[in-house]
Amino acid sequence: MKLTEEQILRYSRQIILPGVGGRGQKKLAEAKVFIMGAGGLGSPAALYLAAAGVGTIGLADSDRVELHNLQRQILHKTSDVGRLKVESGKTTIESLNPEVKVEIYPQRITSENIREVIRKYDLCLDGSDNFPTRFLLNDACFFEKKTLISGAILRFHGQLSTFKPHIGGHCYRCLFPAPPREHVPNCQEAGVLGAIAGIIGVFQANEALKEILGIGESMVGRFLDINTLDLSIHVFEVRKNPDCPLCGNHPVIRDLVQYSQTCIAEQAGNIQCGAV
Amino acid sequence: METATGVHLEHSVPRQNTVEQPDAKEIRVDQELNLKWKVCPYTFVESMLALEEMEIGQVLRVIVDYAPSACDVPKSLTKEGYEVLDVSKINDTDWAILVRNTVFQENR
Repeated sequence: MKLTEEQILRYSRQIILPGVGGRGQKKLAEAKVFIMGAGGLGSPAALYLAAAGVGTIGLADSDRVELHNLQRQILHKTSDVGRLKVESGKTTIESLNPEVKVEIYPQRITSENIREVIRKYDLCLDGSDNFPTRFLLNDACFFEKKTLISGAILRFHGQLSTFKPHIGGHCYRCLFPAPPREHVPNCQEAGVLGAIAGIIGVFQANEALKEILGIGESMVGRFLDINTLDLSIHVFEVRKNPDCPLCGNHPVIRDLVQYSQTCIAEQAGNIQCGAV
Repeated sequence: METATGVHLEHSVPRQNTVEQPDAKEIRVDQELNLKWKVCPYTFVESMLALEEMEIGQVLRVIVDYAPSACDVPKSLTKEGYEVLDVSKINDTDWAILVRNTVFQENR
């Protein structure tokens, strides 16, 4: 693939970067990134990946745009209210960069279809808003040996990490072996400041670009926690948990587990939510 | 080097007529890139893109007519690990930059 005059113009400010160049730009054009959720995290992540020239973006979300989404889900506009988020997202991404191929998954992603969906992608970004999906994506990425860039937000807080259990890193279950049984408030109950979705979503995009380009230090083995109120940022070292039920020395999870939102809610007496 | 007039250019043109450098006329050029009418950063970007497509050891001759590029392109290429062999003003408006593709660049 030879870069066109227009591509040179469009991407010039990153082509000149050390470690990018024409070769890096071609890597980006050939890259396929799957984003779970076209919401608070998926929106900024998708926009920056598209702007950078990532060739294929898979976008999965079964929700429709609602007015209360617009405070943070910047893929969607007021006129998109009522549209499927993946369709609205596809329109926005393509208007930003028509070179990007956007593949949309408006169907519910379940244990039945997730492995097949993510198989064709090079890496996955988690922008999901509930624990069942978060664990499902983590497990599916482990079984399919896909790198997973995980982000989560609530109120004024954000978290970020990269999971590569297939090459020795930790996974989500190393940190949280199972969905919480106690009540965890979701964004609807606890609220979230839109800008934190931007911060973590853009961090995820940045990590994805680094993974594709093969530059810098990834977040494998590290976990970032940010409190935007006092702007304190902590990065912890994380090791693979030998007792992890999924990727540990004696795994008990051999296949995908489909947690149900209502099931957890019944157990815990309330609805759970991971992020967004 | 902030003006396009080339007034302050002479002192900033790197390694012209240094002892180690062979005479520019003796260097075999494998490819030529005409970047007249182009400005920074595209002169650098297009030089780098051309080098990436070339074999290690091959020499690219870049022609620019934008004075800042005659200074900045060699500087940026050197920083990227390419070997700038010569920079010469070849007529009233143009500069020729000779640069060799290197192994270092391959391993970036």
